[in-house]
Amino acid sequence: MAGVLMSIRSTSRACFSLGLLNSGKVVCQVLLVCVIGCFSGVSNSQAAVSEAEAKAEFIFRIAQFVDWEMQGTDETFVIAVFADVEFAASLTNSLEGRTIKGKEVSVQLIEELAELGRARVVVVPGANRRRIVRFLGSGIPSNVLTLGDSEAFLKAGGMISMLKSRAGRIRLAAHSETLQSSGLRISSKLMRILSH
Amino acid sequence: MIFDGFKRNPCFLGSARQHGRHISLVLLSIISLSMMTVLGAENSEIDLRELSFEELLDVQVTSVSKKEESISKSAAAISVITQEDIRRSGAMSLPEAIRLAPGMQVAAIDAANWAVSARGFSDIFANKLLVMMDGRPLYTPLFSGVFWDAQETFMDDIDRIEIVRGPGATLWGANAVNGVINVITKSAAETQGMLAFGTLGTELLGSAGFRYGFELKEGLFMRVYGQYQERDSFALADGSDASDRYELGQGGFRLDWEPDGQNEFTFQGDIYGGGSSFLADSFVATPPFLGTIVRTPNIGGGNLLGRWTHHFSDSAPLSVQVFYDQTHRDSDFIAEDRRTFDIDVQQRFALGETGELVVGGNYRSSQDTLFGPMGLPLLPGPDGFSPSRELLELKSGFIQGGWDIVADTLNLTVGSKFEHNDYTGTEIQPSARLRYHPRERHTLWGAVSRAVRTPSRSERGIQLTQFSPMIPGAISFQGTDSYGAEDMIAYELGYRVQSNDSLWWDLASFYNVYDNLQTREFGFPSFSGGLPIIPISADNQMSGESYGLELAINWKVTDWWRLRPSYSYLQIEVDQNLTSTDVTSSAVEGSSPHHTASLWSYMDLPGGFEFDTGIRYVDALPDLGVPAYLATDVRVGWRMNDHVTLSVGGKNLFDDRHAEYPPSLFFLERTEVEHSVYAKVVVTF
Repeated sequence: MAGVLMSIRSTSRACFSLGLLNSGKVVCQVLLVCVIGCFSGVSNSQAAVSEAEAKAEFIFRIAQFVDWEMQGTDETFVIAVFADVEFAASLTNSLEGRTIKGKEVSVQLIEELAELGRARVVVVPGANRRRIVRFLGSGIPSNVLTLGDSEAFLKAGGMISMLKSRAGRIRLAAHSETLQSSGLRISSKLMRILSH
Repeated sequence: MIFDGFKRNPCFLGSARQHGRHISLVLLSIISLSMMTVLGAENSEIDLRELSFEELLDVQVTSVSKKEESISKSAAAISVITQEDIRRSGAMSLPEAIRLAPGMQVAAIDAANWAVSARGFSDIFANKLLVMMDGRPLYTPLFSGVFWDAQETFMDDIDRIEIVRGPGATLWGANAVNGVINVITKSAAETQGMLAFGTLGTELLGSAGFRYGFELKEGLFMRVYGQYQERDSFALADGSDASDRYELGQGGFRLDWEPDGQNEFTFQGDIYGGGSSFLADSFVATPPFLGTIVRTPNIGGGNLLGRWTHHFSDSAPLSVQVFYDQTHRDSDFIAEDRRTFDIDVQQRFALGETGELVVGGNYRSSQDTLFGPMGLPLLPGPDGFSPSRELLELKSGFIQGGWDIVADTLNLTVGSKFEHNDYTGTEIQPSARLRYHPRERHTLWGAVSRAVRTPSRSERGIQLTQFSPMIPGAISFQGTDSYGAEDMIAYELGYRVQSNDSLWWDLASFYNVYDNLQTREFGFPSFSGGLPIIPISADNQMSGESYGLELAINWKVTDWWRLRPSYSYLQIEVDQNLTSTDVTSSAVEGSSPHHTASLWSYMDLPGGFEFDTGIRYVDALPDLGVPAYLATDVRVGWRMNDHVTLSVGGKNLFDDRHAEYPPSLFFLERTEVEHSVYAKVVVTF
């Protein structure tokens, strides 16, 4: 109602003394800032890692719990990442020089199923349900372990999902039917962790 | 050092030494914090390979926001307030959350009302900012602004608040002149389970809320929520109670359904009711016939929104959105009933490898019924609105295309809105934006855009006579058809760097040229019962310009500590035509702070503790009689376990009380924000 009703304001441009805060208060604020700084010295023990790094480690560990029959022709252990350049880059970085089943890990970015090749693991990051449904529905061989990081991934028939909890921790959840019908041999230790 | 430039250039420090002292204090804080970091922090990276599987499950993880990546690709002054920012700031209302964005002017007028704006022209009736919630505009065509006392939502279910400073008219239409705010709530799928919260405090006296999310069937998620809050009165300048207590209850639901890979449906709604009181100078029945009385307006309303998105292919989604909004307000000197219906269609197309074309159309009808003052005696002449019922229609279409001129290096986006309103006919609002990536993670952008602010219902149809205790006689506000649109051409330039994973900074500058700005012109007085009645009508007899810059930094100092300093400078200059009789509108020059600076610090401490502090300096508003102030907020949070989080905090510490913005109506009392403390518990299952 408007600027019209706004009327009759004092237009005097009185010069305001900025005596709003006396020096004591200013000192208090500086002290507060110093206190915050002191906290910084104390709290170094607690550290967090990036979500991508943690997921890379989980992918590495999970892959070791699955009993694949590696063939002599396999030069590397291939982990495919579906349509996420940044995650693929971060995974490459994290797993550089490490081996699974005696083979050096190599990460491949793929845009469609046809590029899957010899990959043993395929990671489908993100929560775009439509994309996930389409990819998982396109006929992934049953001996390929599928990993994701969303609820949508599990609902669409993905095997194991790395979910970030409200408390900022990674929780593993599995689609037990898909996992069982896949024919993959999974160690009982991983099954125990998944069943928790 | 980014801030060195400000020190060297005296214009940033203003003429008064005191300004310098306050900014210096904030700068000192930033510098001392960073020094301590350099000295105190050691590299405390965890080697994940060393951990057992069980330990790995216990590691706290942090993620880089996808939103920051999308920001880095936009050619506009965008900032995003995340749920994490909101939660850790202790913000318990939407304006408080919006205040976390750099370059926003957000000031409490009283316990219920706020003056919110970007790049100046702030007021309770601020009318150059478009605010939306999940795509539904929150403003009322009554004055083209937002009644903030009726706009709340379940704060924990907000996903993010996207704020564009500067014009967004090409996509969003008239009144997105100085900025666009979109509050985006999480989908029902992301808010499964129960969340309950309760707050007790000295300013926010109490609030409690409950949300429950569940899956109705495969892919169909729903949540319902309810909440209530009560805010204590602010203080008057002498420290006495301002009698402006505020309460609001609200409930709602949201359904999200993805029946297949190609279709997404959202259906949501809210209902609210509440009220506040305020002190008004008024005529009373007993001598001396002039006194201060408490008035108690009440508000209520509800809305329903449905949206269907169909993906013809990966890059060509069609979105159809329909909403209905009904609102009622009875504030004693004006009552408004409004029903708004809106349908919006948007289709995106891929243009080659990198380009995108977006076209859209919108129709909105808004039917109002307005009443004038009921309780005021001695009202000669017509009173209220003419006509008292009106249906306003808005039809618009837009087209915008963007493509890479040089792949991954230079991108151009051009487009225009074509909008027809009942008052000024068709308005064209084009824009052109250029984005250049000189290096990876560096973005230089520039934009030229036109935006208009079309007349509101009150400027055209008001017929309101008010006796002022300050002058003998009355002032008669009269709507007029001769008042037209205000328009603005904005020139913007910005630079943004994500220098590494831990430091991100964003500098935006603007130069806005305004034409046909609103003035309030006096007419010839008439006499009634021997008393003069002075007519005032809106006109477009002012032009002006504004310029400024906004700097925002997001710095992840260590894995457990994040700092968000920001600074903004704003200058507004207006010129009235010689024929103008307006004596008040030029006060817009001194109604927004020249300097605003803030520093937020978020720390994750051991044992699930969080320690968060915010210091905010806001320059004086000389034309409104509001001195500069420095506000300090502190919060300590403790995540007891995965289900319970406790927090205690203080707001405006070290300061008994301060004024942030005076009421715009002369018969209202100015109130001041007092310091406060609160405790909050959040339980999730």
